[in-house]
Amino acid sequence: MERVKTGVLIVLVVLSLMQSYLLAYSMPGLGATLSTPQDYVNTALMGAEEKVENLIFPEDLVLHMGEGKHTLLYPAMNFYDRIYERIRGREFKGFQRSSIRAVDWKEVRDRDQGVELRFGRGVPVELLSKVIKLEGDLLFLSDVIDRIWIFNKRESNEVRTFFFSADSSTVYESVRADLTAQDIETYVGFGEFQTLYTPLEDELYIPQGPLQSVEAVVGYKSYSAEQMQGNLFFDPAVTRAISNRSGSQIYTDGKRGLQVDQNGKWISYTDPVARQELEDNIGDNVYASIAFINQHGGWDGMHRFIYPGPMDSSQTQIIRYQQYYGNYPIVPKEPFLYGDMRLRLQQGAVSEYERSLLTLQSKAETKAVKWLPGGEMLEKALASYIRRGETTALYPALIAVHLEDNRIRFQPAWVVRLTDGSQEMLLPALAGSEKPMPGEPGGGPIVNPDKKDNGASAETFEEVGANGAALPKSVSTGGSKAAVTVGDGGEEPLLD
Amino acid sequence: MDWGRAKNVLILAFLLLNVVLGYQLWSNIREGLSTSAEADDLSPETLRIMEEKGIRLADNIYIPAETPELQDLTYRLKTKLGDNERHVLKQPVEGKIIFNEKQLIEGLGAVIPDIDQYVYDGTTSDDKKFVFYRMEQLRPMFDVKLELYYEDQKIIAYRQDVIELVPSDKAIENPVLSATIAMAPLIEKFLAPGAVIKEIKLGYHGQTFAKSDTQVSAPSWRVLLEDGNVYYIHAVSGEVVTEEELVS
Repeated sequence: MERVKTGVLIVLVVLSLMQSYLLAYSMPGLGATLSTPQDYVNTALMGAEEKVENLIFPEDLVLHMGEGKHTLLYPAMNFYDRIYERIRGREFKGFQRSSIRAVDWKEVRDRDQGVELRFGRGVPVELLSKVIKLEGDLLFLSDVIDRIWIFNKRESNEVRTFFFSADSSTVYESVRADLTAQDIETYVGFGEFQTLYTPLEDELYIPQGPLQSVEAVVGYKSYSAEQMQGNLFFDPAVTRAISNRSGSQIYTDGKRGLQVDQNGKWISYTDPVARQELEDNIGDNVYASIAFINQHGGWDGMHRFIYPGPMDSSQTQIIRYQQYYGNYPIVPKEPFLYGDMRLRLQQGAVSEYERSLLTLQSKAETKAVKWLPGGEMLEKALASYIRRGETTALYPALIAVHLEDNRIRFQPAWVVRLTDGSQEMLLPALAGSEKPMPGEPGGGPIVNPDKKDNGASAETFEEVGANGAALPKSVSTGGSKAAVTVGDGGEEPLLD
Repeated sequence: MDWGRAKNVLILAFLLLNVVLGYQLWSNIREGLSTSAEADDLSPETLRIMEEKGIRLADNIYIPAETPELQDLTYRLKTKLGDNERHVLKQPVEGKIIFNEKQLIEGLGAVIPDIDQYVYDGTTSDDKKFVFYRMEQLRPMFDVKLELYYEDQKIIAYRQDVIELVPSDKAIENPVLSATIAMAPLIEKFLAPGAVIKEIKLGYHGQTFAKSDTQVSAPSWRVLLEDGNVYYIHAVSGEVVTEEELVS
């Protein structure tokens, strides 16, 4: 009997051990999942981080000096910074909505002293309020602003501030802005020795004389595609590289993709995300895009936020950040891809991210002064430009050309922006480093002492703007003094 | 001490232990064998959100309970995905042969390459075409299709993605998330109120790169809605992807 019991006991013990083993190791449901072996994930930041305040700034400042005189200042110029800094220190409250036609803007432009901050394609007020102190109602806060115009009404000596909606039919006047007539006078005073600009019908400004710029050759370093891959994929262990037809690499983990183009200089990252049941908000998208860039690659130098416009049909927004070198935006010469970062977002999720892997050296290898043609030459080039009707902005920029030995040449040029947001070169800088004299192509107008036109009235000026051919003669407003001021180069552009 | 009585107690104790372990094992095995899960297997939280948003499962839906170990697939395209041309059959064949694999191979095997690798999918087919998916380890590759066009009950033309699998040394087998777990975030965050889930199926899906011949597909749950929308859920990471292709 005892032997039987011992046998049964042994069988039971063995059986329970076996069942425990099966339960613990082989059966689904309880199986402990093995985590995939991970490579070391490089979380080190690659570039500098940036904040929204530093990414939103006006494309240019227009100083209206009265008597039909105007000048433009570009980002990071000394006077630009001083004026913009002061305006940022002010408060704008009590916004009243009205039609753009309530004020005769042509008259204000040519007669009243004022400063105009132009934001290119616009900035949502929600984001602008992070940069400039604003207090307005919801309607105003949900709008998009493309200009701020502060002027000193000549007859009443009262300062008025207008915010222009990007719909080009609405303006908001800030009735409680703490700017004084003295402020405006100071700002306008900065423009005294600058190159004068002639306004055209559609708010493009043409300098009357040549504009100084700098051609630079700058070396660069490049992140490796592997670095970027390690930074963008959660688990590099399951990410694999496949090569495309042209031989460059594509990395994918089955969901995300990273295509490396231009011989390892440009990447396109794609992460198809599904739409969620959430509100879409441009502010959230912009913050998400900045945070994303901060974590994945960082910023190389100064960038400006480009408003994507309203949602497109696919319910996504492509937010762009245009890179600057010195005072001017960078426009790549095709087929080179450089000069901006593009992110496609919906509901705060990044589904596409395109950027360059290059970072510029802090010091340029060579620099040379170049002159951008002004006056008649520029005006003619613009008038005969085939896509003149689509042109929404004209500005000096730097055309980036890729050179051998990891270098980029930045060539100054006049660039136009078209209605679809694309940029095209209109006119390159003049050859050589000699400043063109008045009367030479690209130089200022010749002043004819016999034909002095002291009027300088608004009427004369409008005629000039509309009729380009009449420009060289009638533009000599203010007599011979103008010839000295015009094309004097004004403020030196930043050399670095 | 009475060794005999101690043995009795021990036998009783081990017997009880064996019964408990045995029941556990048996229920585990039964769970592993059964291929269908119930809607009730969704977490109470998900069920509550479904009720709130009016999301429901189609009446005859089949929710797989399997959680196999799968790996990513790498394949090379022989005929380009998506924009492959439509081949008109010289001799139309009877439409009903698609339901019988043998007849299908007999009827079209000489014309359509690798036809034995493709399996008919009723839910994505419509009144103009039959849709087949390339199978790999008995699971469909949702990006590799064969479409048979028919008119008057005759198959008259076809379009096909032809691929070749590339062995990958880097592929790691990973257990997939169960359908009920994978569906939870989709239901909670992505589906619109009133959505009706028509089908959920395990297969392979990946981002398609237009510039590359080689593509990668990851194990994915495909969720079809009654209104035609398609969602893919990465079966290992649980991330939700839509059908639309972003890469141009």
